[in-house]
Amino acid sequence: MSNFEITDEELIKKFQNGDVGAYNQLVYRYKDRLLNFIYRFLNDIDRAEDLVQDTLIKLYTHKDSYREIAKFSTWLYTIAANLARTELRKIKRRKTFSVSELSRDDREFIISSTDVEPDDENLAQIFEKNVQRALAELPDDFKTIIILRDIQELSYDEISKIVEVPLGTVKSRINRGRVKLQELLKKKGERPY
Amino acid sequence: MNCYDFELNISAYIEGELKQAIRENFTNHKEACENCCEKLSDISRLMENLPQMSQLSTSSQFDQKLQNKIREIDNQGPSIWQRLIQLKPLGFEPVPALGFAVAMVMIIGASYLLLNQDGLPNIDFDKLSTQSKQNTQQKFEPSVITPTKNLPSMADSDTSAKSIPKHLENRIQLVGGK
Repeated sequence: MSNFEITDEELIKKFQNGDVGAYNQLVYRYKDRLLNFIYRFLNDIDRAEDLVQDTLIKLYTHKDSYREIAKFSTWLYTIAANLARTELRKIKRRKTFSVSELSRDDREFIISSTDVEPDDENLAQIFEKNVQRALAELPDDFKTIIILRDIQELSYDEISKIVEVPLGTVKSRINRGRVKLQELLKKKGERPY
Repeated sequence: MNCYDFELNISAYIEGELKQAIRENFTNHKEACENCCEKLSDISRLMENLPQMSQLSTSSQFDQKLQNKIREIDNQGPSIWQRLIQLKPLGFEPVPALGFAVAMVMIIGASYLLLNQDGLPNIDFDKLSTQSKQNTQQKFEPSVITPTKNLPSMADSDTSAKSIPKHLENRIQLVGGK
């Protein structure tokens, strides 16, 4: 626990001075957080884990490009967000050839979700799946901000730095994103329980 | 407040960022409009539930994979370009050192050519000067321009006469007279 008293900024400074143990500490602190962020963004756990690896490798190889003017978490999330956006663009390009298959999957999911009599655990799972699907339908700008704010619970200020848009734009996008997400969930017959 | 304005203010209302006056309008609309009231309760429940979604953890092989990748990077070492940049010949920074080396090569080359007569091409300067004199002594004949007979003069042309408006003819004559 004593390691958690050291801030991220102190750890990266130690790592910049050659302390590999500090790097391992940062990996330990961020690997799951990054995985959750990227997974919500891509909806693919294997790809998400690969991208977390890529993010942490970038942290290793580009450690000197971090300057103390920004929060470490903001810097790392910016790397992860950029990698995730690039990956999503690649996936979308590939998926344009198999749109019909996607719609078949959607239908199957809707049927299964209405056929089963769900208990609380199932309800939570269905809710999560529907949220994932609704998130996938959101435009990237809204999606990133919703994940960072409502799932990762970052501050507006941090989000503004990560996505490089003014604070006011972040606030208006998050509001529009929430409204869109609620409408999408409603279309899928999902009510937030 | 209408439904559109209500929608714009939902997040600010939930997060307690609305000013008193707008907040009152918002609450009044909420009580009057069933759709907006439902939307607000859906979104606030959504905001409560999103952070509670299950948290994923990296797989058991994650750390091992990462360590392997890092070992690979460490074994690769710096690229040729990075090594070149890091190189400090005689304690100089690489770019100034390269510039200095190029300058030295050029100075040595130029001085070799100047000092060694064999290295320079043989040029007959006398021959060159006589040739230039001959070129300048050539007769200069200015070309004579002869008017072609078929060209109509300005006075003869009908078009020029027609183009002057009648009310200006007197003025032109007066100016010509002066």
